[in-house]
Amino acid sequence: MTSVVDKAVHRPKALLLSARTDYACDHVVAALRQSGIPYLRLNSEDLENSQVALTPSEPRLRVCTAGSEFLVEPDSLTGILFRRPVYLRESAAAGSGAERLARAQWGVFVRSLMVFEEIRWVNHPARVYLAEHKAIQLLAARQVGFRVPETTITNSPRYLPSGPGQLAIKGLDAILYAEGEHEFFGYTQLVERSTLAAENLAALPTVVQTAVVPKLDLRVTVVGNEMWCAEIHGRTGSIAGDWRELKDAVTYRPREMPEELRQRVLALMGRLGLVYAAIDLAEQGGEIYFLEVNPTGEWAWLERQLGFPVSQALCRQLSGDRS
Amino acid sequence: MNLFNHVLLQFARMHPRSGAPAPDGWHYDPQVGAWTSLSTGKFMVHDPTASGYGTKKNDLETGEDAKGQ
Repeated sequence: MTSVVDKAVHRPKALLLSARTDYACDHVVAALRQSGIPYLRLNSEDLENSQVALTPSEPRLRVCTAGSEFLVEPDSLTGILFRRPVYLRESAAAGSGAERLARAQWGVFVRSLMVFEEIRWVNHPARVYLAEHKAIQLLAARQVGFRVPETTITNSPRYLPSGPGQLAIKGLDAILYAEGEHEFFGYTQLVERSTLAAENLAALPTVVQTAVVPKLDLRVTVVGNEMWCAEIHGRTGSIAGDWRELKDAVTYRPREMPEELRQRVLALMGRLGLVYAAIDLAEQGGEIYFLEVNPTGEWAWLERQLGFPVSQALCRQLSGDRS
Repeated sequence: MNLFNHVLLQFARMHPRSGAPAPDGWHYDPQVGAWTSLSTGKFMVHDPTASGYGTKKNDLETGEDAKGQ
């Protein structure tokens, strides 16, 4: 490809819908190139500098970007990697009203690519939307046989989960908001029942769970029928609360998964309609508890540190090679 | 009530509102669709000296589903 418009029209097999700083997507690009699979990466930041035209009724997408022209159509397309939010969180949105409007409109444009309905999506936006809801996750996990911590979504201490011990609290959606020049992110917190009982929770619906402590955190990365499990260890052993708060101090170890657990994970994926997911589990006393599923969760650090071949598996999904 | 007194917000961690940082010494090659070295064309994510990127340690916490927003 050159800096002037290439005369050839490229017909990608894989379409990657991402953002420039989504570095995990770079791993997928590398895997696709290694396998000789033609692809197009469309980043949210690059759309306004590209020329795009979607013909929904065919369906067909034409893109002219970075000096090359692409024709995306079902005859050649085999997979779409969707690494985008399914809705904008205004609490952390930057820019003027007009800029936010533009981002929202481009977001709808990208989701309109759902007109490629016969194509393998990893994951389909409608499924991501559904699976982002913690309530849906917990119900699905219970339905496929996972143990789940007793959970209440409430804005009142009147309705706290029953039983002894600490409680874990987290946002119903990501606790992410901006104030001035700063951004705030809320992690899962462990609190004493008596402390929470005295809090005024009225302003926000809050996920309150019986805390699984002590526990060993497990991170399961799933692509199609393939999956890899990592144990997450703190400096002094197990981690009481949210391991992401300690991410500079944790280590990861690969862990074999028994067949029963693998089948349960696959059943959860099927119920949620997901091809890819990063699932957070916790082990306590030989029992596995479901904590949450991240349909667009991160995985690249596990590929680098533990050699989990996630990008190759994604590449196979996108290219139609799912044997 | 003051929303910021809510227990979920009391414990929220503060970060500079700078967005995801551009990797120093690398450039995004739009024709490749990845961050590469200007001099060698090597993929940033394959270079051990750029080990901060593509790791959980360097992942800005925005909720795992907020990327590209």
